[in-house]
Amino acid sequence: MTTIDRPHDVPHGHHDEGSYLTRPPGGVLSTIIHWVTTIDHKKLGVLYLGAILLMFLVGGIAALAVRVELWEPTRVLADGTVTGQLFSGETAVDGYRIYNRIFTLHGAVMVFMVIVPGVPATLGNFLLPLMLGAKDVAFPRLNLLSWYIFMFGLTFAILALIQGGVDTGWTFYTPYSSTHANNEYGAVVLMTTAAFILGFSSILTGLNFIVTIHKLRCPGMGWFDMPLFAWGIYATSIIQVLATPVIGITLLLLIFERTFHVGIFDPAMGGDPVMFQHFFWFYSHPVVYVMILPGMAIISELIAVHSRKPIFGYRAIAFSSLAIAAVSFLVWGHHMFASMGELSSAIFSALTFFVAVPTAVKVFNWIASLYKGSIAWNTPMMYALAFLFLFSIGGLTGLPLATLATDMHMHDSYFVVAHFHYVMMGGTIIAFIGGLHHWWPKIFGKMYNEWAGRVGCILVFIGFNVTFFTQFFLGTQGMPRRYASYIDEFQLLHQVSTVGSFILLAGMLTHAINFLHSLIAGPKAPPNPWGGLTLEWYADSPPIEHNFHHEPMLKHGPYDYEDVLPPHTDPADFTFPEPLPAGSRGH
Amino acid sequence: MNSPSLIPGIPPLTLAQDIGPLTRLVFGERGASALARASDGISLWILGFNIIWFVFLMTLMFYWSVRYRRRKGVAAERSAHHNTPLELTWTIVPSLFLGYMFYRGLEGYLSNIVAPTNAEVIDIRGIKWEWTATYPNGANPPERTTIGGNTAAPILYVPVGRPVLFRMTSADVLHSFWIPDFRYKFDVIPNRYTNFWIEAEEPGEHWIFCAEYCGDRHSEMTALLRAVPADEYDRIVASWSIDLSQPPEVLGKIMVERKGGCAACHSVDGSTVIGPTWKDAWGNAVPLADGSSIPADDPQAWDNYARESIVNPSAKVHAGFPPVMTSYAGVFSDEEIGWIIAYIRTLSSKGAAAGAAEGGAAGQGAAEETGAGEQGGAPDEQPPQE
Repeated sequence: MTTIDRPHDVPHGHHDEGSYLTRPPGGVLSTIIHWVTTIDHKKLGVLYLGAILLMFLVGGIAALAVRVELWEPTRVLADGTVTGQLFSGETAVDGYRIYNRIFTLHGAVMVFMVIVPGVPATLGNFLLPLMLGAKDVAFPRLNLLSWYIFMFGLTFAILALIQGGVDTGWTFYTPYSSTHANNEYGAVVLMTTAAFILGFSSILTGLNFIVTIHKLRCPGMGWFDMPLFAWGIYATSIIQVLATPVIGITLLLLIFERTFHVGIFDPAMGGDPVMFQHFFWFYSHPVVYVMILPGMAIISELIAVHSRKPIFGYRAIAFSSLAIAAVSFLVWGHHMFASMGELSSAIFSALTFFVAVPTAVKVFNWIASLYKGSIAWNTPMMYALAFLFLFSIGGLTGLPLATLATDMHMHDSYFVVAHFHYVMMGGTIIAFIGGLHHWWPKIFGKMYNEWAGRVGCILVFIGFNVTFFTQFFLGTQGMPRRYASYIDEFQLLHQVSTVGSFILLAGMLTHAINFLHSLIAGPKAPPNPWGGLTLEWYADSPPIEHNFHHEPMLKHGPYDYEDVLPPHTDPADFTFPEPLPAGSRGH
Repeated sequence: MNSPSLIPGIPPLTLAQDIGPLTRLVFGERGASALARASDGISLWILGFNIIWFVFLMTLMFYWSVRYRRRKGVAAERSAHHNTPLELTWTIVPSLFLGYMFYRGLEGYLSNIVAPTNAEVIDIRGIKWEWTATYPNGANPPERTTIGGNTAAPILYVPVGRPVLFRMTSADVLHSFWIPDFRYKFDVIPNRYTNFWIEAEEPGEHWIFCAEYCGDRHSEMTALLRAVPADEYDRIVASWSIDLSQPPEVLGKIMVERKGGCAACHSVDGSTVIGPTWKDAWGNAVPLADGSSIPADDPQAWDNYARESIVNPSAKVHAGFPPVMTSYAGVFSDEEIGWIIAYIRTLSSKGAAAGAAEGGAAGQGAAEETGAGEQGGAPDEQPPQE
């Protein structure tokens, strides 16, 4: 083990207290209280994971409802009967009203309650201190507060749902969202309040991570000795802290507009509805990088460990993460090419191409990392490869959207829907699932069934592509977004897409069952099943309460497989022992 | 025809702009104008670029993942951890391609913004959930067709070979005017004009979709663009002018069908679309959302209720219906409102019974000018009836 006794090591007792998951003495109630008042980053990560997976289920059900509704277009027969609607009322419009609430729910839940908190709150919380060799984050109590705020925000969202939901789209564009008559006042205020509250959870988590990375790296770990996962989390946290207040203020302005009819967005009072879009996207564009940077951070770890190779161009990956974070604040207008003037559109188009370059460079670096590797085709690695495939498609299809002439056709069509699902789901969610499989043994101390993992990955990959690749064609052929019904010509592609969504469901269910089974009856996991060299693998599986028995002192880089593993040794036979003596690291 | 050149000296795009089957697979139809086809040229160029890079990267990825798969007893060989010349190359070369992409995109986009000076202006108005158009002679197109679930989609005529500028505004929330076959859309915003221009090259029909979510019937806010030869266009548009000597109820029906877009929410056959049906509405009691009601058999009360609801719909909302109607203040003159009420009256069994002598609303004051051509000259002032 990497335990190095340092001269000033603080003595501590309880070596045999079990892991962070060990139940404290007392009944069920005391266990619950122990968990909901914990300041342990690992327990908080698990608490977030439970809440976020639950919201993923809710958002996923909404997605399936959308796809089933779009199986057939809605038509009203001569005698007044409504056909082709899953949700129907007396009139076709009743069904549309329900559909509009469901697609809004899907977007709002997935963005604000799944993907944005997603990786940072779960894997970030759990792994960052471990990877840095620390006992916890810089501000553990603040971390607990972040979780409380998150759960508080979720309750507002659930209240909004119970109230009947909102039909404005997750983007809440004015004047539709600010005009009282369009939709129920209460639900809009509740949903925007939920997002406002959730924003604070994001800000405080980001703040916590920034300080943790600056201040709590263990001895011997310089900035460029950190795992690339930490760099990704760092860049993400900077955006979270700087951008999230903007959406908070924007949503507050929207609430004031609805409540007090202030008039900032109301053209009848001299207000500007397009200004809302500027405010909204000033946050919501950087937030898509909050979504993808942690996913990319995961991919760096998965590829390195399962190829037994350092990531090619460590510094390029580290700096491109920061570059993406910086440039992400400059491109929000590319969501508004169809509502802005020419000069603005030209500038935003040019800046958008700028942000594409560091993103593409990462993909090249990851692929280059495979060269002369020793690549295990296990579930996490298959997810990493799936990420490269799907994220590349997502990124490349962003190019015609950044290009002005072509975006004027594709904006607000299914092409955009396909593009963002490829990057958000094919990118972040795929990376998240891969990361869950990769770190599951560490987090829960149990192994999952590898074959079930692979089958799930294949089903998810096929299902995802069938669902969303067809939507590119729907978009270029003229199918607009957020349509509850459509013209006959689009039906075949919609049906193909719906079939794909059920294959996707099968894959997700496979993983859910696999993970549940692992928790209940899975074999015990060794500390380092994959042979990783980052510090979390030197902790127990699952880790003890304060992570390491003794403060680690870093003696090798995060990906120094070539130096640590003796030549001509089967990695399967090799248990990574103490780090090498100082001075034998290479980048 | 190629897209025009933005910078003198840089030749315009000359790549194939219409690769038959590929265009059909991607777009469904070839672009209906020169600019549309130029846009397709850019799209297909980007698609080609994407396919080449993607195939290259994925081949490398899968090949290496298989070639270097983990084998028992075999460790990974050493290799370089970075390579500055390679990394610089793969940063700079794609950037050059991206720069070219940006340039072509800007060029194509600006061509759609800057309209020819002789473009004729068609005023487009987006209102939840219908498109209405006013042509240069002040007329509104009367024809309707069925597109998908919308049985009252207006047919907008444009002339082949002549540029047309759509000057657009919204009466209420954001909409977006998208003509997929012309590969262009622009948002339609309240309290301002936005515009773009097209030129149809041959006769044909093209869908128009609303492309900015606007509420309940967003997916049925559709219209048909019909391009016809220029002389036929002139004849058709001229035929739309209204004979103002017709009785008020006939003029009211014309207003409703051509200019109001009322059918988006109000049926005349008893069914409920969004708002109350007009069949047997006039003269019958109307329960209101606040508990009061408009009394039955009181023509003046009903006429006042109708007039107020047209210009200030949220004042008296029919109980059981959502308060989503957009105001028509400024759209219809007092006189036109009178015609509309006369028309609504004819749809009710009580309308005929109350006698034909009363011809209009209790509107007073001078008639407002709305579209110049429509009135055919000086405004026709009707003296108040009562």
